[in-house]
Amino acid sequence: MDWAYTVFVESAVWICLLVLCYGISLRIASASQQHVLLHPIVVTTILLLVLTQIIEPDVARVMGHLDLVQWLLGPLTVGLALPVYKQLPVLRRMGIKVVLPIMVGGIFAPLSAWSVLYFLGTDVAWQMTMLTKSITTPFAMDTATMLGGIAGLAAVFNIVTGVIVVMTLPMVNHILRIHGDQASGLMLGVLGHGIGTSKAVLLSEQAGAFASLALCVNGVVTAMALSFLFG
Amino acid sequence: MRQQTSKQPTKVQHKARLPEMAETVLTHLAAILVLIGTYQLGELAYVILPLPATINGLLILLFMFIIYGQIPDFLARTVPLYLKHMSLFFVPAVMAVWLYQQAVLEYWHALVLSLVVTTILSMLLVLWVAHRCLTNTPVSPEKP
Repeated sequence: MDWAYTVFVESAVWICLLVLCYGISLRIASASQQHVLLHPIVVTTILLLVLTQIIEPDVARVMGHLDLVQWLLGPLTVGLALPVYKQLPVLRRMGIKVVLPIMVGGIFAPLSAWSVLYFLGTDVAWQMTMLTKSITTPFAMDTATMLGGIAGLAAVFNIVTGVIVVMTLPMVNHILRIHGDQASGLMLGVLGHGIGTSKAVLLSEQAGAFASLALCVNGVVTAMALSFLFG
Repeated sequence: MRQQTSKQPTKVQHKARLPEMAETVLTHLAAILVLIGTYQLGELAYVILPLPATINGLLILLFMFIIYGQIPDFLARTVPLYLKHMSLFFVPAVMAVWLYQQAVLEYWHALVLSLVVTTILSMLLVLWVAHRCLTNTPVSPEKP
């Protein structure tokens, strides 16, 4: 009884600390005009890891206390059906013109990343995890688990990929001399998932729309394809 | 603070506040129950369709929307709010990077290569393909 009570209180305290850190990170993000490197996920994680080093150095234990929050991510991900449903008419109208680039990215990005890890001889679990680097984070975590990868690392690879995509966007635009909002938005959504999409929204409304379309289609289709192929 | 300032007027409005709040709470509760229920259904559906529970759940919910013809109001009012703060729910998982420090340091060259280089290559490819596909549309204002 006593033990269960302590666990409950500790969980509650850590969840409160998590929400507090998240609140601070939102402030930081808006103060920095949504700079990618100060994305709320990055800042919240750093703040919380700093707190764990002060209060409870056993990170695995703290993660155990936050199990409820992690479990809630599942039902929340199901809620992505709303944005996907809203994209259906656009998808029907644009057809192959948007599906083709999304497919190209959805196939090339995971396979190229995987082949690098494969030829450099890293752990199989890491190779499987890397396959999910460009699909939206919650799907990536689930799919990685399904393929025998590591959910936590999937989230990290995912976020790093998103940040790289946003930071190298001007360079890539410059190299190809392509500055169209539609093409850039689509690319941000396919490869940079949620982080890329929030950047696209800042570029223009049209870029944002294309990015969320690409995010939805790529997320669902690639996650399904990977599960069928490797699951 | 802001709520307190707008709270002053007549008694009638004050009375209406409680049912309104109860309605909001119930709407959220209903939305959360639907999400959890669909998620659990998705887990059960694994027997038929071997996909992660979240994807199965999403497909189930999506089909329900398609059959219903629109997004039910109580979901449309609540779920976008949760999705906006989804980042919060990733944090516990991302903390795991701390546990893999050693492995990350060991494989760092492979990780840099596969995360940075292949991402930039993919970006070049996708942007080019997207540009080719989209500029052939009748409504294309830009020409290089």
